[in-house]
Amino acid sequence: MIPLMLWFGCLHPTPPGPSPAEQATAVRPPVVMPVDGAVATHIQFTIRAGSAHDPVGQEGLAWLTARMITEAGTAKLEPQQVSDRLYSLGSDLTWVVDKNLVTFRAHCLSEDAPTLVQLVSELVTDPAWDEEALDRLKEEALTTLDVSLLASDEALGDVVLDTWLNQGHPFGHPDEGRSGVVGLLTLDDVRSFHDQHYVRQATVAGLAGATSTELITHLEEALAALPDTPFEPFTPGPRNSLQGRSLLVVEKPTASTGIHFGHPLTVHRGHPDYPALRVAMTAFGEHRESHGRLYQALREHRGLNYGDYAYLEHHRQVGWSPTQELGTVRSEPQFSVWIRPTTPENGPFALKLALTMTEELVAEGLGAEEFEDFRSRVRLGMPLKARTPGRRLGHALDAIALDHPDLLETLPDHAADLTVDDVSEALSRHLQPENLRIVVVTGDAQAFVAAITGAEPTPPVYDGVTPDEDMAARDASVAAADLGLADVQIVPADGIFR
Amino acid sequence: MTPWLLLFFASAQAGVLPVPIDTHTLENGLRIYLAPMDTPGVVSLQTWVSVGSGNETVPGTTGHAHFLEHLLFTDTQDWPATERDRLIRISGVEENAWTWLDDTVYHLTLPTAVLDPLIRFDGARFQRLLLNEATVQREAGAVQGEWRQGQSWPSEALIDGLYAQAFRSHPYGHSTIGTDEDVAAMPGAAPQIRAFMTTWYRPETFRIIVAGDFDAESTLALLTEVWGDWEGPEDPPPEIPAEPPQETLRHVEIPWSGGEANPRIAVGWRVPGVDLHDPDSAVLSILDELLLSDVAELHKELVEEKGLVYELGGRDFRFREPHLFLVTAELKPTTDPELVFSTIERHLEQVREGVEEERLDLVKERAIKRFRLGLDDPHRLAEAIGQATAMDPDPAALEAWFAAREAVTAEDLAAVVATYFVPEGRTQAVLFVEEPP
Repeated sequence: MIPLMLWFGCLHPTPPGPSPAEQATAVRPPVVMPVDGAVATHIQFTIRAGSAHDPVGQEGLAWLTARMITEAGTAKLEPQQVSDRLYSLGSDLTWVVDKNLVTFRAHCLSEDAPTLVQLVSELVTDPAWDEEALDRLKEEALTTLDVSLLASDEALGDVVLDTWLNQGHPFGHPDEGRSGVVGLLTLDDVRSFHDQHYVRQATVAGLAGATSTELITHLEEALAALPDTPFEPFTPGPRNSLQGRSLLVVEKPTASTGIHFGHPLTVHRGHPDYPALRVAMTAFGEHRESHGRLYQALREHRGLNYGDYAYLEHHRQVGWSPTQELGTVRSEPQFSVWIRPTTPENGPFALKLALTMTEELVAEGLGAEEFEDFRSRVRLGMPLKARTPGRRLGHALDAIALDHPDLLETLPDHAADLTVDDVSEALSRHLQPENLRIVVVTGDAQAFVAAITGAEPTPPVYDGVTPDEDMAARDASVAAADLGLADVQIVPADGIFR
Repeated sequence: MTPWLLLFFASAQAGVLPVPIDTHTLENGLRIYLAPMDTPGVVSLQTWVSVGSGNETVPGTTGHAHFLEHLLFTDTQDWPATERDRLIRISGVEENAWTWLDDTVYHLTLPTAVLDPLIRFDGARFQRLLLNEATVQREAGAVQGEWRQGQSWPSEALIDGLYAQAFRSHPYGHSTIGTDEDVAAMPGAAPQIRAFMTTWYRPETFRIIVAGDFDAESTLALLTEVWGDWEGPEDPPPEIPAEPPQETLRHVEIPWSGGEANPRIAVGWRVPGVDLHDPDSAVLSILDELLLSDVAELHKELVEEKGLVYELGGRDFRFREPHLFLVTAELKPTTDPELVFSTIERHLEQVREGVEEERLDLVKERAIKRFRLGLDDPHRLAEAIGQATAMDPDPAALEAWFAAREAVTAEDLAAVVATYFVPEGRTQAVLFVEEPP
C-alpha cells in the first residue's frame, strides 16, 4: 500500500510556457446576446484562471482566489453590503471553478442591470483582500478535501478518478487543492494570483437578455479596468497515454461498492470526431437518463444499482438537475464510465459487465436504428440545453474562452452529417478499453481485489430478478471474464487528497 | 363540424409577466394559455389538471390522483406507450409530472419541431387511456416503491401526522401518496382508478399551457382540433367535504423508529384558501418571505446564532381550500422543541408589534423581483401561468395580486398575524426518535 500523495499531482511538471500564438491572444470584446422583450439581464465573466493554473506546491490557489471574489467584498464594499445589494436585486452571484476556467454569473431585472454590472465588475476587478475571509475559505476547502468529499462515496470516486487520470498534469489535483498545502497559502499568494491571471486578455465577459448600449459601454469600461498586462495563458499539454488496465481500490466504511473508470481523450469540442463520440456516449449512457445501454443492462434488466452512465467530458451537474454546469468545459477531456453503487457482492460482476460492454461498443459500434435515434436526440435536443438567455451566454463564453466552437450552433448540423460508420471509426480511433484506470470505492478492499483478480467467476446475486436463458448465458460468460489488470493498488480514503 | 367555440379571448400585456398571454376557453370548458416568447427552438408544454389528493373523497381511494399520474404514461387506444416514448427519446424531450393536494401537472420541455406530435399524443393519453388491469397491476409496483421510499423519510411522517390532525373531514388530511392500506390495494384498483379518472379528468379541470418558441395561431388550431370534441360527464363532480372550524390548539407526538434521524417539529396555522383577489392572501405571502426566507431573523436566530436548528423550512404553500401556513424545523438532538415553538411565536409577536418599514420594503422588493426573474425560462413561465390560473382563469389577475403584495404595510401584517396566528387555529407536531429496543 502506498500513500496516495505520491500518486497525486505533487510532482507534476511546471506548466509549459505559452506558445507564440497564445501570447498573441487577442483582447475579446464583450459578447452581447440581446433578446427581444426580455425583462432580465444576465451578466457573466469567464476567466482563464482555473485550477490548472495553480503553481506546483500551491494547489488550491485558483479556487481560493475565485472564492475571495464571491465572499470577501470589494475594496469599497463590506461583504454584508455586497450581499444586501444582491438581495435587494433579487439576485445571487454564482461561481464555478474548474480546471481551465473560472466563471462568475448573475442576473437581475433590466432596470437594475447598471447596479448589477457595476457590482459584479467591481468584485472581479477590485476584490477586498481580507485575512479573515481567507481563513474561512481555507477552512472550507480543507473540509471539502478531508471530510465532505470522503463522506459521499459517489463524489469520492469521481474526484479520485478525475485526479488519477490527470496525474502528472496540471489537471491532476482537486480544484480545492491539496489539504497538505491549502493551509500554507497566504493573502499575498492569492493577491498575486489575481494580479497575474485576472487580466484583460484572460477574460471574456458578456450580457444576455435585456441589454442596452449604455450597459455594454459599462461592461467595456469594467473590462478595461482589468490590468492590460501581457497574458501568458498556457494550454495544458496532452496527458501520457495509459498502458494496460490499472485498478485503484479506495477503502472506507461503506456498505456499497461504486465504480468509475476511464482514460484521457484528445477529442475536445473542437475536434472533428466530437459529434460522433457525442452520439456514441448518448447511446451508451447519457447522464441520468434511462435509455443508455449501460443503464438498461445494469439497472433495468438486472437491478444492480440506481444508474449507469458514460461521458465524453468530465460531468458536473447543476444542483439536482442533470444539466451540465457551464464553465466546466476543458481543453483536455476524458472518457469515463460511472457505475453507481451496487452491493459489495455484485461489485466485481458490475465492473466486468461494464467493461465488456465498453469493449463491445468499440468493436461493434452502434446499431443502425440506435444510431439514428441517438443522432436525432443529439441534434434536436441541443436547444434544450440552453433554454434561458443566461445559459446561451454561458455556452458562448465557454466556447470563446477555450477557442472551441459553440455546440449550440454547430452540433445539430454536424450530427446531421454523421453516418453510423463515422461513429464506429471514431470509437475505434479514440476509445481504448484495454488501457484504463479503474477506481472502486468499497468497504472491504481486499475482498474486492481477491474476487476481481481470482480465478473463480464472480456471478451476480439477484434480488427479485430471474434471468432468462440468454441473460443467464451472458452473465456466466461475463462473470468468468479476466480483466487482465496490469496493476492493483489499495489506498484508504482518509487523507487521499493530502 | 367542430362543436367548439371560442368563448373568450384576451391578450394582456402584463407588468409582472414578461410576455402577453393569449387565453382561450373551448366550449367544453377546457382552457388554453399561449405565451410565445423568444427561446429559439424550445417550448414548454404543460397540462395542469385541477385534481389532486384533495379530490380523493371516496373511501379506499387515497393516493389515486398520484397513481393516475403514473398511469398516464401507459398505453392508449390510439398508440402503444412505446411510440410516444421513442419520440421523447429521439427528440431529447425533458418530461416529468407531479401530484399534490390541488393539482396534477404533466410538463414537457421540448424542441419546437416535435410540439405538434406531442400535442396529439397528449390528446390520446388524456382522452383515450386504455387503463387495463395488467397495466394497473404493473404500475402499482412503481407507486409502492415510491411509497416505501417515503417511509424512510422522517419529514414525511411529520407532515402526514400534522395534516391528519389539522384536517379531520377534508381530504387534505391524508397524504398524496395514500394510506398504507390503499397503496397496498392498488394492484387490483383498476375499476376505482377508471371511476376516479372519469369523475375528475373532465375538460373544465384542464388547463393546457404552451410557452416558448412556437406559432400561436397554428398551435391554437391544433389544440382546438385535438381537445375540442372531448366531452366530460353530465354529472357535476362530487362535493368535497369542508373542514369545520378548529376550536382549540391541537398537538401531536409522532414516534420515529425508522432509523437514525434528528427530532423535528412542525407547526401550522389555519389560513384561508388562496384567492388572488383577497388582500389577506397577498399579506400572507409577504409574511412567508419575511418569516421564512434564508435571510430572515428567525433563520438567523435559530440556525446561525443559537444553533438550535439544522434546517428551517415551511411556507405558505398556496392551496385552493383553507390550509396551513407551515413552519418546520429539523432540531439538534439536544434542542427542546418547546424552545423552538416559543421562538417562532416570539418572531410572530414581533410582526404583530410592527415590522420596520425599510426591512419590509426590501422583502417585498426581493419577492417580486425573484418571481419575475425566473420567467425567461419557458418552463418556469408556463409553471407560473399554471399556478396563477389555478386561482383565477385570467392570468391578468396576477397583476392585481402583485400590486396587492406591493401595497402590504406593517399594519396589514400585524392584522393578519392577529387574525390567523391564534392558538385555536394552530396545530403542532413533534417527531421524536424512539430508542431501539
